[in-house]
Amino acid sequence: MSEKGSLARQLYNEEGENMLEKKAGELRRKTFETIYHAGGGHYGGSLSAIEIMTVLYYDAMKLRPQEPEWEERDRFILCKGHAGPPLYVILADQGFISSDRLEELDKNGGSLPKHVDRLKVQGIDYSSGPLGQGLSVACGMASAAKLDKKDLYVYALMGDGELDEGQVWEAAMTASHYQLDHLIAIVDRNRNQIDGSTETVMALEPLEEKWKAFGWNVQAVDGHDTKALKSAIETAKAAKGKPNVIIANTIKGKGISFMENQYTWHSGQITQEQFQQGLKDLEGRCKG
Amino acid sequence: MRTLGEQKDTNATYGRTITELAAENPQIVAVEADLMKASGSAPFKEKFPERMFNVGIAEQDALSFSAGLAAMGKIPFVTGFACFVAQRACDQAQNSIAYNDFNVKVIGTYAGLTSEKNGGTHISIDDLAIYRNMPRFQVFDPGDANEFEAILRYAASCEGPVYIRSNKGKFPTFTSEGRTFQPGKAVLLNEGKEIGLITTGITTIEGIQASEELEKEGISLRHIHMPSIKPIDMDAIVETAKKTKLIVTVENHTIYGGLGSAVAEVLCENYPARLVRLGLQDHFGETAQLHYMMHKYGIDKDAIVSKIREIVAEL
Ligand SMILES: Cc1ncc(C[n+]2csc(CCOP(=O)(O)OP(=O)(O)O)c2C)c(N)n1
Repeated sequence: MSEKGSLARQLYNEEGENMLEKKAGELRRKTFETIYHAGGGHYGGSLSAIEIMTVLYYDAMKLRPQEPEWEERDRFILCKGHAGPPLYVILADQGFISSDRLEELDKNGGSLPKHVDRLKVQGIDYSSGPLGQGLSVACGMASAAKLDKKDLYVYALMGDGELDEGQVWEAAMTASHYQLDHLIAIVDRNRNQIDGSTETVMALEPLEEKWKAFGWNVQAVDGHDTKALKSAIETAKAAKGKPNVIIANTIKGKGISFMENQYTWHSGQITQEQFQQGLKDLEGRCKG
Repeated sequence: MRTLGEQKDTNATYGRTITELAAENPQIVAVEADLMKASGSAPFKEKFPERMFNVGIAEQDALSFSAGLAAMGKIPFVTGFACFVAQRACDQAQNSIAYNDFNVKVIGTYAGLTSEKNGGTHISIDDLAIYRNMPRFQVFDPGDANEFEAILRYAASCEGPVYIRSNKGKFPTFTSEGRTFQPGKAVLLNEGKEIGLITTGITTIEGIQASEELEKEGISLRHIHMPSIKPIDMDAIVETAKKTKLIVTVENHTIYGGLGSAVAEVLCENYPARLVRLGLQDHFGETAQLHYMMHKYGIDKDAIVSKIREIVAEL
C-alpha cells in the first residue's frame, strides 16, 4: 500500500519535479472549474496554495488513501479553511473521496462545504474556517504525537492575513516552548487579504524576523516552485529542536490573468466569459 | 395588516447611514477587522479615511481597541462577522466594553443564516444569546433596512454598549423610512385573535406572509415584530398572551437564549401561557443558501404556516 499520495511513487520516478509541476497544473485547472461550477467562491487563496498542497500531498506527506484513519499518517491542517476546494480536488484525485462529490461543492444539501469539514469529508483532519485557530490545534497534535513517540509530521497551512490573529502568535510561542520540531507551518504569503494587501491592511513585515524571534526555523521560498518547496520541507524535516515555518511567496489568484494579485478576487463570482478567459490563461501556462 | 415594500440592501444602508452620522458627529469612528466588504463601510472610509481603523483579521483586538477609543470620548462602530464578534471576541465585549461601560456599538454582520454558503463555522447561531446575557448591552435584530438605519441612528445617539445584527442581503421593507427607533418597543403588525406570533429580524418578513396566508384560511394571528431583544417589551408579550390562545416565536438563531427564551422568561414570570419556539433546534448551520436553510430549519413562511395549522388543529 502506498504511504504517500497514491500517485506519489509514479510522480517521484523518472520525471521527478516536473511531474509535481504538471500535477499542480492539472489541480489548478480542476480547482478553477470546481469553484466555477459551484457558482463562485474563494478563487484567490485557493489558486495561490496549489503548489504547496501538491508538494504536501504528492510528495511530502505519509498517507494511506485506502486507510484514511491510519494512525501513523502525517496530519494536515488547512488553517485557512476557505481554501477547501483545492484540497477536495486532491482528495478526490487520490481516492479519499469520489470525484463525483466535487459537483456537490457548496450545493444546498451537499456534502462538500467550502470550509473543510472533518465530519463530512474523509481525509480532513480538522474542520476549519474561523482563522487563527489551526496552528494551536497543530501544536496539540504534534505534542500528542511526541508523547506517543510517533514518527509523524504535522503540517499547518496558514494564510498571511490569518497571521493578524493574536492566537497564531500564542501558538507560535507554544511550538517553540515545547520544541515541536515535527511541526511544519507554511504561510501562503500571497500578500493579500479581503480589504486590501496585507501591508496596507495590517503590515506583517518584517515577517521572517518575527518568526525567528519566536524561536522558529524560518525558510522563505517561491511558493509556486515545487522543487523549492520540496527541498524546504526536506530541510525542515532534517532540522531538530525547533518548529519550522516556510514562508511560501505566492500570487493570489495564480494562473488567472484578471485575478492575479487582485485582493478583490479573494472571493467572488465570474461570468462565463471570464471562465473561458481563465481556462485560456491556464492553457497558455501549461504549454509555456 | 402590513404589506411588504421595496427591497433594500443591508450593506448599502450601513455605509450610507454611518457616513451621514459621522458627518453630523465628529466623534463617530469606524473599526473594521478585514471585513469592510461584509459591512459595507467603504463610503465611510472614502469620506473620513482618518476616522476608519482596520485592525486586520483580529476581532478581539478590534473590540478592545474600540473600548480604548470610547474611553477617550469617541463613538466607535465596530463590525465583524456576527459569529466572530460574538463568540471569538466574547470576553473582549464583556470586559473591555460592557464591564467598563464604554460607548461602543458592535455590528454583527452576516448574522445567523444570512452567512449562507460560508457555512456552519460562520453561521452565528447564538450571537443574540451571547450579547443578551451581557449586562449593559442593548441587543437589536432589525427586520428590514429602514429599521436597521433607525437602529443605527438610535445607537449613535444613546450612551452605552449596543449590539446590532446586520443581516446580509436585500430584503423587502415593511417599516417606514425615517421612523425613530424606540428600544424596548415591539411593533404590532396584525391584530388577530387566535394565535400570537412574535418574530424578530428577517423572520418577520416570513411572519407577515404567513399571517396573510393563514388569514385566508380563517386563522387570525396577532403578529408582533420584536427588533429589540434587550430591553424586551414585556407588556407586548403579556398582552399577546392575554389576547391569544398560544404564542409562537420565530428567530434566525438557536431557540436557546434568544427571542424564544426571552419570551419564555417573560411569560413564566408574568403570565404563564403556552409557547412554541421556532428557530435552530440545537444544531449548527450548514453550507447552503438562505431560503434552503430557513425552510429546512422551519423558520420560513411555509414552516410557520404549517406549524400554526398543526397547532390550531390540536387546540
Ligand atoms: C476569525 C475570522 N475572521 C474573519 C474571517 C473572514 N475571512 C475569511 S478569509 C479572510 C481573509 C484571509 O486572508 P488570508 O489569511 O491572507 O487568506 P488567503 O489570502 O490565503 O485566502 C477573512 C477575513 C474568518 N474566516 N475568520
